[in-house]
Amino acid sequence: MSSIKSLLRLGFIILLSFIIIQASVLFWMMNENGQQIHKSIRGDFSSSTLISRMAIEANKLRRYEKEFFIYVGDQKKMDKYEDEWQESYDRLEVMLNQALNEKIGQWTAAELQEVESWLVSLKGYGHGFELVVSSVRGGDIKDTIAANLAVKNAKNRLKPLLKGTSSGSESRYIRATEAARKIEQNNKILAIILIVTTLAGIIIILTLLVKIPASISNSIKSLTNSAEKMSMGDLEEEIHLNEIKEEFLSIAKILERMRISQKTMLKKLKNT
Amino acid sequence: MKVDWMDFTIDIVANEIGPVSIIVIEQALAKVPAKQNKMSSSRDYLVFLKQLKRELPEDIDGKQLCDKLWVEMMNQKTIF
Repeated sequence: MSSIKSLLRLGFIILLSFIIIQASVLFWMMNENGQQIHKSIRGDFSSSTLISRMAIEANKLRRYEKEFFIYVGDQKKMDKYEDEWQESYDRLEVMLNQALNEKIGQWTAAELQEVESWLVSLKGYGHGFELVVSSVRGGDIKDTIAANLAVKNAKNRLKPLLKGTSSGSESRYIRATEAARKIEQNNKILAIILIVTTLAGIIIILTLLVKIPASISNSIKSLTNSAEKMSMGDLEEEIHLNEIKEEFLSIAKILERMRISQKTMLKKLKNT
Repeated sequence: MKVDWMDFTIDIVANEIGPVSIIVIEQALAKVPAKQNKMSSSRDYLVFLKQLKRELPEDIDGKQLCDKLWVEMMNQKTIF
């Protein structure tokens, strides 16, 4: 025999549990997604962009260097490409220092060490190129082939920077993509959990909506039937207390007592 | 506090069978032997209970009710 109060209490406890589960899952997922977004957008995405810009600038350096050597002898063009090379060099140096000092994006200690090696690589290349440029301007190197040969060692020094920036950008892109995939997956899980808990909540509410009024009306109906029979003189049928909800139990007991009393009284009257 | 045997007996029996309890008790009392009809001791009360059990309606557990009355009588400072 269950009471309406305990049924309501159980239903609301389950509903409350669902709300708590929903809120906890939402909070956890939002926190998790926030971390992923921070990691991918502010971390990998920013550093990936910076590395891509470094790679572009490093390739520009090589282009201006080649242009400079192609136009050995043409003072005007040599000046133009040397200026452009210098601008590109400065920009690249600023970017490397940004990564090292301002820590734009997300960098591990190993990655920062690699950036340091890129800076060394750039400086080594810059120094070598400037030496060849001064030899060209001093007249020691007079043609493109000789200039290219002279700058070969310096070019080799730039290789770690060129290779590192192209692969570094890619690895960060993969990390950012992975984070984006994880965010998407978390959102899917979140959606499933929300749908399941909402559906379960709706089912519980519907069950309560059906069960509670039914349990009230069934008890009242049973008591009304018993009272109706008693009023019509049928005093034989016992009121089944196990079918009555706890809230209606005392009135059922009173009715049962009245039935027994009436029945006994009638019996005694018949005997006299 | 002293309690009259009739008071608690009616209370307990009425709680089970309602207003007809007075009639049932009176009939039971009427049927006990003349000496016990005076109800002067617990022994008399026991004889009365035996008769009451016969008079009680079948719809209730008469034995249990009589046991309850006996325990109540023993626990109270009953006036006979």
